[in-house]
Amino acid sequence: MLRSSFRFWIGTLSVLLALIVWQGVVAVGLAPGTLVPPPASVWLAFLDILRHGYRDTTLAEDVGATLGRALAGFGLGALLGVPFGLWLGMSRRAAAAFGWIVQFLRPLPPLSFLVLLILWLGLGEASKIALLTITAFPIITSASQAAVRSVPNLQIAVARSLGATSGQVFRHVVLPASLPMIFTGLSIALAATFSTVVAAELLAANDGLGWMVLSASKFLRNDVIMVGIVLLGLLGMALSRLLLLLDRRVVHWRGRA
Amino acid sequence: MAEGIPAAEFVRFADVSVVFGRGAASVQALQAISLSFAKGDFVCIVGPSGCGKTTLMQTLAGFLRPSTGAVSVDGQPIAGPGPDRGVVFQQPALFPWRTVEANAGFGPEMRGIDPAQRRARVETWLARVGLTEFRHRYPYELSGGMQQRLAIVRALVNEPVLLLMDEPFGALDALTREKMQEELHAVWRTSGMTVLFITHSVEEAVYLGTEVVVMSPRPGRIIERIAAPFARKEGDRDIRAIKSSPAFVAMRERILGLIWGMAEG
Ligand SMILES: Nc1ncnc2c1ncn2[C@@H]1O[C@H](COP(=O)(O)OP(=O)(O)OP(=O)(O)O)[C@@H](O)[C@H]1O
Ligand SMILES: [Mg+2]
Repeated sequence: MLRSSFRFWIGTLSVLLALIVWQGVVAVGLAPGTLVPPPASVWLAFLDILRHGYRDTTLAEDVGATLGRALAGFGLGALLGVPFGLWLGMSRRAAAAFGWIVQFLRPLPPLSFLVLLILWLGLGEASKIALLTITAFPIITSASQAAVRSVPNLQIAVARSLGATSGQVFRHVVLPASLPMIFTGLSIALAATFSTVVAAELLAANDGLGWMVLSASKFLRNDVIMVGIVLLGLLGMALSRLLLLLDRRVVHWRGRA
Repeated sequence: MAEGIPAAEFVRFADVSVVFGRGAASVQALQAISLSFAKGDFVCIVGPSGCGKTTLMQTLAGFLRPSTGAVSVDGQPIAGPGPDRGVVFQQPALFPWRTVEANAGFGPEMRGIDPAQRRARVETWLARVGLTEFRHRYPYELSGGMQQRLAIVRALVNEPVLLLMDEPFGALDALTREKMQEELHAVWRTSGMTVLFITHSVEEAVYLGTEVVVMSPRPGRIIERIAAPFARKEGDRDIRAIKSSPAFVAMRERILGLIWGMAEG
């Protein structure tokens, strides 16, 4: 087991090394700086956007738009998917009735819905949030359903013989025992939602980091594209990091019981 | 005790058969088992693997309905699991999201027993098995032996009339196992509880049981019932002395002989 400070420094070092190589490749002329903007010019572009915004939007607005859409879609997907999946896990009849629909939705590329959603809901936020909800929902639903299915029979048997009613077995055993798999589903869904929000913004949006990247490409501002990519990556990392922290707090017994 | 129920029939298996599956693939796990015992008895079941010990216990616990025949406690037919019959399995099956204390108090909490009374019971039992200082920890922070002690406490806190144990000490090291045998014996002696105890260790069965029931497989049936005097023996309760006494060794060897006979036959 590596000490965490040691791991942090190894990580930092390797990122720094990558930046130096990247800057060096451009500096010695192996790649043209306009096509492959070196870290220094990406940093300058970032400072410029931070101060003056990009076109009509400020950086905070773009970050906020992307983040807001992703979280709204993910949140709705979780709000609908967790209870629905739990229900499918508990009731064989419900699973028989809705199982195929969920299995059909799950492997579909969510973007294939976007055109239809825009026709139905317009170009505004509603169509994008609906798209992201559709992205997160089947992933979270099937994880929650599988979670209920995998609750150890022995724990349920013990609870019943201690006098728990079926309602109590659900609330005090099935639900907590399902949490580890539900959280795994949530983190997969979060990653999927985040990549879909960027793709959706590339197709139809007037703000957001995805839109910024697409717009910059029309003006050959590769430095701005890089800023967008780096910010998207950092934002994605931060989101899954937050979820992981929550996971560790809630599912403290993961891998230990 | 309910009226008209003979004392020796506090627990009663009447002609219990269990068949798993159908047709050619079906397994007759139990064949016409009839077995009764009195309140306060400590009945140990031994027999080779697959002879239906767990199946028999599950019909009494209410997890499994017999294919034919009936099981009753104090004259009442078993309709499903209930808090009058506590169960302990080989795996502790604790709730890892609950602290030690909250695991122990699970039964009374579900049954809506007054919190003050619940806390008092939990405290008493945790102290009795030496888990008091771990009460705010989680099960995964305990050793295997401590986890199993907690599983037993969780059943006892609920104050069942019957305690059903399926190889509860099977996963423990020899020393911990003997300590647990002593603890369980002391609990049984002071509480007057009725216990059905499944084990692969004949020595354990002869030490703990007031009666040892020997089962044989394919199909599962009872081949012999042996009254064991050691559990009710007064005076010196030194476990090593009891287990090495000639009478103990003779009974242990006789039962082992029965089981070996099945393996050869
Ligand atoms: N759910 C089940 N479905 C089908 N067959 C079963 C089932 N449970 C038990 N059996 C069969 O019934 C027989 C008795 O099983 P049981 O678990 O009661 O044996 P056991 O005496 O407890 O064995 P062990 O000492 O290994 O625990 C075995 O042949 C087993 O294969
Ligand atoms: Mg068994």
